Amino acid sequence: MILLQTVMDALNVGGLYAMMALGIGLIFGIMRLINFAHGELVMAGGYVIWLMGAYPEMLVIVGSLMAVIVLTLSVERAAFRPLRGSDPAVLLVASFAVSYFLQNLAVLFFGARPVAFTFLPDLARSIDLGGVRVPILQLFSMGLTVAALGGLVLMLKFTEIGIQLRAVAEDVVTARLSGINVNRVIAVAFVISAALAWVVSLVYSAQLGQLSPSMGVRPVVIAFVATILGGLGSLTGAALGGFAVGALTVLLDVLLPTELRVFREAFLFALVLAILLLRPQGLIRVRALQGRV
Amino acid sequence: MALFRHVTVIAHQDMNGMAETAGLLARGVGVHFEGLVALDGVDLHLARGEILGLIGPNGAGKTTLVNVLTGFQQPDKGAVLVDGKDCTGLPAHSFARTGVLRTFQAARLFPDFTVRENVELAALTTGQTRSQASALAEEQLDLLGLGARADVRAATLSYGEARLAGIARALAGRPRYLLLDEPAAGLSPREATDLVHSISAIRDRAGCGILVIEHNMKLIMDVCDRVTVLARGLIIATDTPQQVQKDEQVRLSYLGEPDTSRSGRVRRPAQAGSVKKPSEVDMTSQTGSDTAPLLKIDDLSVRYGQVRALEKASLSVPAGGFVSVIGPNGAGKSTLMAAIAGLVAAASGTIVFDGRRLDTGVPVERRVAEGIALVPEGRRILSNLTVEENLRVGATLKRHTPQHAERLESVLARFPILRERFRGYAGKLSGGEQQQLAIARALLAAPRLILLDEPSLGLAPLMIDAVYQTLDALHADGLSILLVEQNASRALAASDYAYVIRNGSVELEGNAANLASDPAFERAYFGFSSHRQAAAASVGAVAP
Repeated sequence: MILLQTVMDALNVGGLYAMMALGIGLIFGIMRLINFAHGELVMAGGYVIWLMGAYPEMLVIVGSLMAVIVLTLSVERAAFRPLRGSDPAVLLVASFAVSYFLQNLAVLFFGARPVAFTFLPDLARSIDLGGVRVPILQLFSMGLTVAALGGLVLMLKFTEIGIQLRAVAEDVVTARLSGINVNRVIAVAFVISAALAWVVSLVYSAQLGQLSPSMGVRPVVIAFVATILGGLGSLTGAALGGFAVGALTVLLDVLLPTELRVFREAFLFALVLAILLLRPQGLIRVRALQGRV
Repeated sequence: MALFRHVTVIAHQDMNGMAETAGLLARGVGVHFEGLVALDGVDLHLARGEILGLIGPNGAGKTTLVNVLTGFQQPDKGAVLVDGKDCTGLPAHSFARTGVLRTFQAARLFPDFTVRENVELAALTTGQTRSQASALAEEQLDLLGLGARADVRAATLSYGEARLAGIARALAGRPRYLLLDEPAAGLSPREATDLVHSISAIRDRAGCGILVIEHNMKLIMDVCDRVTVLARGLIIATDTPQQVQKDEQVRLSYLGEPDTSRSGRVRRPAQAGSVKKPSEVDMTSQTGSDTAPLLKIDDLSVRYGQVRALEKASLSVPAGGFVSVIGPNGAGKSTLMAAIAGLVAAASGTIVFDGRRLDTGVPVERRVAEGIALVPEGRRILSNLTVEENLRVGATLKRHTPQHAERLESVLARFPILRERFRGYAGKLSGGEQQQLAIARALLAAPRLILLDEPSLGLAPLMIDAVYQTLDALHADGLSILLVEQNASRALAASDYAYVIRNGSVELEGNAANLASDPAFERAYFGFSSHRQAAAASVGAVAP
């Protein structure tokens, strides 16, 4: 039963990182931007849900999702679009700037101290599943993760916009010559990545039980490691890397002696380093990762 | 062929007479890249005090050979000897230490150092003292006429000056053998002429052997003692510039073999009855009362930074016409295509499509919607997508409309192989199949004008036949075609009207059938004419 619990934990944490990694990987694949401000979308989503706490739940869900999307589109328009085609280092620094700006804006509005997050309090209960007591939150997170990842896969594989997204990611010139409006496709990529961030903010805030302006930093760093581990530029790799890091985290939690558990992160990153030394190109090798806009 | 054997014999004598192996020597060098043979047993000998030109069409393996000769690329077969010392397998800096130095296609100076510092730095790395390096830098800069610019930041140099500074830097390493990779690329004619004098001066002063890779034929013919011609990884000739200019095999390697296959000739005889008279007026009259051409370009100039890619080029494509633009590598052909498609902005001049100005910032996707589709050089299919997905990307109509189904069906009927590979990944297709996919993708936008950039590049002769048959069929169906080619024979045989461009300007234009036999054609293409035809009068030439 402990084994089952461990597997579920691993899937849960892994799913969360996979969604973060996909959100980052999608934008990187399309415009070579490593978006560190992705974590602040998670943070913003949490705060909007908290602010709207008095409204009906459906309204909160729709309202907070919209708010995250509007935020990311504004950031894209104001900060990233003018820099499109710049050196990746410039884009990276710009995303740091946006990240710190949003964090400090949150401090200004909400204060640096954490606030309690109690959206959908029913999630905190547990139910009995064949002798195992499973928190509803965990089932809820897994359901959402599966829906989000599955939806993304179906969309990329079968829809018009999904194919256009992959086309732009592979070769912007060919995409433009085919009549694709690249601005629109990039905007859609940001919307999808924001939707993924919103799912994370719902699940992650509920798991933490509190919100703070810097809450997005840790998941974004780990997700970034996951995208590198999976093979930068590959969406499958990003998802795989996310699950791998999640599984490693949970595994270390179980296997490490109690007194070493506080150093879990050190062990995690040492393992990641070891994997990268053995396989520098990441788990999934990406062909032709140069010559883009 | 006789020439080739002659050269091989010399190389073998060199190998046998081991005592006298002075010079930079490549011996049976072979290089493969994932199944593609880039160099296939190449022998080359560069003596000190000699200027040797290395020419050849796109993809011949010139840069790969220079990379092998300077240690940037390990040969799979063969050896590289520097003055009798086997240097095969040594790293690039060892080559530099033994006196084999090169320049790159881009100058790659340190932008915030002064010109003098850039050159001094190269001298210092060869173990000279500060004052020696300084003197050496001074000398090289004076030699190349850059003395007055020695103390400005390298970033402020003009493009031509930066190229010269790059050469000065290589000279500061005291080369015994100097390899110049396209030193004149992007230079103005005047700067190119100055470069010829500089290269001769370097040989006289430094006494080193110089290997020059160039597409500028005039420069090669003016400056070189001998010229080696590389095509498809093989040396097909090594001789004096005069002899090489006359060599039939060399001509064909550039202009392409004339199409001798039975299938490829289909169009001309079939249309013989209906072929329009060659004049432009007659071609435009095809469209009926409307005499304005479908595409009209006037005085178009395009620059990349300081590099002049296109200089006041004018051309037009009548509705239903098949026009080709022919020219050597680096002539500005791809830039012309990119400007029409909207991928690069024009510095000046106008592009009018169907009566509408396009040079006013109309974005690429709007031009596609207007009816201009470009099949880019190198095909650029989306290899991680399936054939079906590639075609869906190209389709501009909603997917479930009957018109879309009709278009897709007609395109698949034209390219049956794509139907067979419909769900397979595009990256798995052969080169010829990828070219078909690239054309099919463009056709799904239902263009009125299709632009093709070097569709025969890198394809086997049989596949080239297939591509041109496709173009003939599209033309017969009324599609207007603008084709850019290095392979002149094919393009001239297929098209109605042709332009020859060189160094970014239109050198010659005329009816395609006439051009093929016009002695002015080769002069326009290569920048010189072979003796065989020099005396004949030029017909239909425009003053360059």
